[in-house]
Amino acid sequence: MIATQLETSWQRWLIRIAVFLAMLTLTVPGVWVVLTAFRPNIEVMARPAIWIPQDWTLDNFRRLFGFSSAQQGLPVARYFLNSLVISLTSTVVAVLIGMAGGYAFARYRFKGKATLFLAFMLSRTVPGVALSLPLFIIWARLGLIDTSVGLIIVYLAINIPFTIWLTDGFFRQIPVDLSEAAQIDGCTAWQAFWKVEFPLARSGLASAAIFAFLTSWNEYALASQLTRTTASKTMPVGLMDFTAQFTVDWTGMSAMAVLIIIPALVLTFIVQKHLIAGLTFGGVK
Amino acid sequence: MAQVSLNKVRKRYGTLETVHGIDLEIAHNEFVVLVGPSGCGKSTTLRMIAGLENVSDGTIVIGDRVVNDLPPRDRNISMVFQSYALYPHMSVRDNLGFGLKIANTPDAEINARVADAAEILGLGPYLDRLPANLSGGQRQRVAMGRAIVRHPDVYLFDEPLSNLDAKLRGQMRVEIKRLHQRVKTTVIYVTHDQVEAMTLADRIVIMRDGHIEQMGSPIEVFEKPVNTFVASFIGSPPMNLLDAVVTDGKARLSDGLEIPIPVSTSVSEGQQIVLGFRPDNFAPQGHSLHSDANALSVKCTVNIAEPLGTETILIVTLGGKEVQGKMLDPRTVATNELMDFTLDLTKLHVFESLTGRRI
Repeated sequence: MIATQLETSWQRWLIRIAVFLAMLTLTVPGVWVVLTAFRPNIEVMARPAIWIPQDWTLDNFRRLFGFSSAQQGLPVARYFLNSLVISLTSTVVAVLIGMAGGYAFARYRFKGKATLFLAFMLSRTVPGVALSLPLFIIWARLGLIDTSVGLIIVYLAINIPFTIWLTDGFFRQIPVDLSEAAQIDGCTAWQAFWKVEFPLARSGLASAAIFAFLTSWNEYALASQLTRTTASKTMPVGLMDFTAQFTVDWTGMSAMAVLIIIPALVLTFIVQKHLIAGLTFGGVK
Repeated sequence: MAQVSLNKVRKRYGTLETVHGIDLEIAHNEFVVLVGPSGCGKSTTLRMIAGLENVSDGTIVIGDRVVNDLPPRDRNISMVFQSYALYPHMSVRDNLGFGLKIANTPDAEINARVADAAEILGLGPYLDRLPANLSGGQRQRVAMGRAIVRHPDVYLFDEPLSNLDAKLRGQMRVEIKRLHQRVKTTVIYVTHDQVEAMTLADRIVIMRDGHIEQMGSPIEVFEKPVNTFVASFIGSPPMNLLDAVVTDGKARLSDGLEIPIPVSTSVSEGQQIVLGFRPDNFAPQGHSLHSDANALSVKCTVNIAEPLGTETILIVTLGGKEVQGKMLDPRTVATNELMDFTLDLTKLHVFESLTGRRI
């Protein structure tokens, strides 16, 4: 309390300016990418740097989709579809399995529970890339290289432990009394879950879904090794199509990066309204 | 008609047994209170009746059905939880009607029954609010309303008033009693508060360490506690219990004071006993309810006086122990004041020292 009283207005302004500078530093690369998507190639390498494009253009996007006579028509639509299918499938499955797992960890006692939970968490400590070689060999043997299913399985392995951990925490916050009251009110355990506990855990499940989706949507390292062709290449991997032996098409790459960012942003905004904490308040006590 | 009977009911968690074979018959429409200190198995017993805990051994019968293997929803019971357990995402109306909706009751009937319950409990103005926007007392009422709309065979209450402040607790206690008079149904009520037990119960069941210590009407358990545990648990302030040795047919306290033992009690010379008397029967001369005819006069120094308005609790040292007495007049008592106390000899309780059992 004393600290807040001592904070005079100039101190508050100092903090605001510091925060502004920090945020600016963080957002500059992103802003640069977005701006670059709308500038002609010639501006990219200009010295001194041109910050605001002097010549706004949508040519980069036209080239990307093959509407322009110039240069490549990349299979961006195909990459986008691959990304969407892989990310959505792995998200939905991870949330379903993670929810069941998280609920079990939160509600039931069983043998080896602590060990199992620890094992799940430890799996998160291994960087995915470290496993890329064994993964590649096994996937090659199983014929999963360059398939959507192959990538979906990998993303599930990454996402499920995290989803379990997150939903476990949310289910723990929901008092057991509520499920018991519902069962006395005439529900089966299954009904009690769907009608009482699930709606209350919705914010937790929404955050789990966002994390899972963004992880799969943005993942590059493993996807770049396990995909080969348009059959399974995702957007981040597709970015590398813009690098040739001696040149990099920065504007094309930036345009595609914008296409990667947009769905992620849209989804985050849609789900955000479900991320209201404290929904369980008032039910007990 | 729903009588409830428990036959040799046991609860084990692994090798740990917490309820040791309870036998209990509860009549139709009876209000039974299970009371005891925490960890005595009263809540576990209630949860077994509700079907929220498995019965390890023995049988539970509700009405004429053995319910051991029935899930809670098939037992036609309702339960009020200590935490209220209201559904936070539903309005009061939906909370009340939830059970009926699950049972596919027609909307018109749900509305009628919810309105009925809301009227009984004075919840009418709050039907569209969420539980978060209610006060503690209102939440408590919703929890009770949710129980009564379903017209169950048996009501189970699990320490429903523990989360309320003292004043509200008193009010809700009266409301629960009124509710029981209105909707005549079997009630099993768990509490650790002996005042709630005394005021609400047709019959009190006092439990300790997974055993039933005594069952009986509030007056029975108050006047004839079977052992020192019940004696000290029921009644407020609690009964004074003093160690004594039978000497010349009298109870001799550690400070040498000799108290005549009622002739009806059979004790042997030299026996170790515990002598019990309630604060109500130990008062300064001229300030008591009992006549001085059959009373023992003792001089005591007042250690502490607690004035309560109509009465004053006096703490004095007797037999090497602090005991409580009750003075009925609102007279100011000074600390260290020497007073003549009288002990009503007709209201003495004598227990075996070793087992604590009533003699």
